Amino acid sequence: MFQVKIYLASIQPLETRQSTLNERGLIMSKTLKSNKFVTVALIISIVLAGMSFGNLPSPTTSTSIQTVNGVTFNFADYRSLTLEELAIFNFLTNLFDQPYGSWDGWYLEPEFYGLFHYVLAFMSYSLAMYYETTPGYRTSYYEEISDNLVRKFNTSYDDWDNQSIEYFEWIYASITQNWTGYYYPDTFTPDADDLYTGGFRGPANIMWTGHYMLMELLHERNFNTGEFDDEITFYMEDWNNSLTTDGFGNPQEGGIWKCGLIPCEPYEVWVQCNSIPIYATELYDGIYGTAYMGNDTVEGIWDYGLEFSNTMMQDPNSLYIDGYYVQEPFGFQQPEEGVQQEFPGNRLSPFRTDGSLRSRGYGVAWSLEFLDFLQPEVTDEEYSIFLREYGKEISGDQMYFVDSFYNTGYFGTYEFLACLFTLALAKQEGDFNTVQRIQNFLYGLYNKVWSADGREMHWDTSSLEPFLQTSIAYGWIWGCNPVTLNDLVEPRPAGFWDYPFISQADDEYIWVYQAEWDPVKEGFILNINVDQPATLTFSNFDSLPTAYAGGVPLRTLELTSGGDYTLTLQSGSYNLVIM
Amino acid sequence: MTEEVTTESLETDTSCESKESRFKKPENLPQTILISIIGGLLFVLLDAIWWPHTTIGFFKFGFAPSLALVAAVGGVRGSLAGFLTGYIGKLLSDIILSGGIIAFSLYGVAIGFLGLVVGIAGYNLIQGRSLAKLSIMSAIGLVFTALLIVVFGLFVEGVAVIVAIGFQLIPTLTVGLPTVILLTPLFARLWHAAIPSPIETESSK
Repeated sequence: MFQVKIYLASIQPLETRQSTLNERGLIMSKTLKSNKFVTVALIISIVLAGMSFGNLPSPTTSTSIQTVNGVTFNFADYRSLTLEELAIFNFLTNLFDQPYGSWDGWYLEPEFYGLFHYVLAFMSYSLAMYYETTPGYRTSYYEEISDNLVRKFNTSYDDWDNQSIEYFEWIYASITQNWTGYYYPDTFTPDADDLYTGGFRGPANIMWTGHYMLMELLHERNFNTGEFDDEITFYMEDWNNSLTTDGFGNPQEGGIWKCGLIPCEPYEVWVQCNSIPIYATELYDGIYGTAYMGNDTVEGIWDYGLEFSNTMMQDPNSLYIDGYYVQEPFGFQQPEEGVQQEFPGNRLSPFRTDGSLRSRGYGVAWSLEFLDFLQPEVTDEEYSIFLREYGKEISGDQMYFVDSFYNTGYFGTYEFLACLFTLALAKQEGDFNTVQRIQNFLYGLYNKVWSADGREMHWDTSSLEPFLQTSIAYGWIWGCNPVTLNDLVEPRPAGFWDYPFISQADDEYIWVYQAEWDPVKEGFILNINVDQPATLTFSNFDSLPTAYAGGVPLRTLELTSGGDYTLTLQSGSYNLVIM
Repeated sequence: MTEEVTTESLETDTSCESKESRFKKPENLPQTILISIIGGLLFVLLDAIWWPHTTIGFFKFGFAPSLALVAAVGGVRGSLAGFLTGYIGKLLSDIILSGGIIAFSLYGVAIGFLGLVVGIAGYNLIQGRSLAKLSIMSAIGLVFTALLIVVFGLFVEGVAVIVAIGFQLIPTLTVGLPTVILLTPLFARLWHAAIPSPIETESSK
């Protein structure tokens, strides 16, 4: 009947239809007013909606198309940061406004000591993505945080006692596990033929040396300061020695541990941990012009280990397993029943007695993500298997990832880590549905907190786990930012350091969404919001540049005594082409 | 067409069909399916909108109007329409917004169950007491929905218990209960006012 009525209404004269609509409006109005229950429900709904009104998504970055001197610049063609990413970065900067060995605001508790250096490392990688998004904005505001992060990561026990990363990462664990006492291959009765592998900066701590070197390397890639060149090269040569010799200078296939990989805990190797130095080696070759990754004439130092990972360290789904023992650890207890652990050998699952191998979601996602640049076909193939084996669908808009498919009934820190690592992997794979669903899962529990001046934002995780606050913050950049690890493994293009860039600015007054030099069109793209009048200094322009807005000249920059050019902007939003 | 609409006329209007009539009239089936499809599409639209919320631990507060839509369809058009609206809506929402069928579409069954439970009873959408009954039935239906989601999560999807409780049960209840209790009678009442039922049409003649 009602369809007929709708149809009849559609062929009524306009004034009749208008009258009908007015009548309906009157009915709806009276409907709401005529019933106390409805009225009360409406009022309570409005009150509740007002009380729960929060966590609004930020607006998208506005872009425009401009034609300057016959050249068209579409701002949408260039990478951009979002308001939230910028506000998160501003929040994170507070964590660095203290001595290197101080950790106020990081909510560090002893139970997290073993994980803490990873927080710093992956923050560094997230921020490298962030810096790469606006490569033409390289003031001290960004560079100092990048540098500070590296130095925090390298805090030694001698300087910072039990507040150092050396203590958190190595010494604290050694209290119970005696990592400092290891020799290879005979750690129980070592003699001169056995290599000492127990040092924090020694050959068997790739979970620190790998990250440290990559953090330094990314700093060099992004800011070209040269300050870490020597250390970077030291670790590169140390890995070369570990992977191609027996540690005493004699060539040996598979290196010291005969598997082509380097241990973290001195008795065990992991693919995920080795994916970091593999990635770093590729970047090192690109920046320093070496061939450690191999070429047509030279074998790569990681070839043996990569083959070992892709053949030996595999579960029945062809996904990476979690750990290969190169030797028996001190105090190892064999399982009371079932298959016994072999040394050397793949690590057995603690949840099974049938000889199943240990698997961990975070490790697989991490490995696939960092090795994607080298073997994209493997990542593409294994990604869908990974989603199937480790993914859990909570609802249409949420999913999470388990740490072990042998223990799906558990949920804890490593499940969060599996989600965080899958976030970036899914982004790299272009699977934005999964990215969105993981974000809904990870971030749906927390409220956004904006600072009073609106320049900082983070998620308040204190109701569940304060320690997660930092990771959740940079995890947003890790998952949302348009730059992937595959982008960062390439060095800067030739001529990059001669491109015009913003070298100084009133950083605290501006929001830089886009800033990069287009070498083809020879124009500088600047998408900026200015809170208060601010001056930006540009370096590397060959001649006096002009800033264009909407395709017409806004103003000509001013020459400084140092040969740079300055641009002063009043409050407002600008899409500028400077050329 | 221009007769004055009075409060009295609204209060004396017994517009809602009885539950029996919804199924006994054969011509109602295509109408029910049509309404369910339209309801499902509206569900997708409401699901696609980002709704504000605030959280305290696992407790999430806000509204999910798509749930109220399912309950309202159930209340106005009966169990079948309510169930289909929830099921079709969730299915389409997952396919369109999430890129696939989630958990064999069982979460759609859970959402549809809300409409099914609400549709069991008949309601006079004019009377406050009956609308209160609609709220109560919606709350009961929502509890069943939440429990079904947990059951499907635990035994079909295999999520951890803490996830089922913290990410499925508690948020579904803390968001869903206020939503269906408050918004369902509003939606049903507005629907009733906007689109009169056949009985109302006949009585108005």
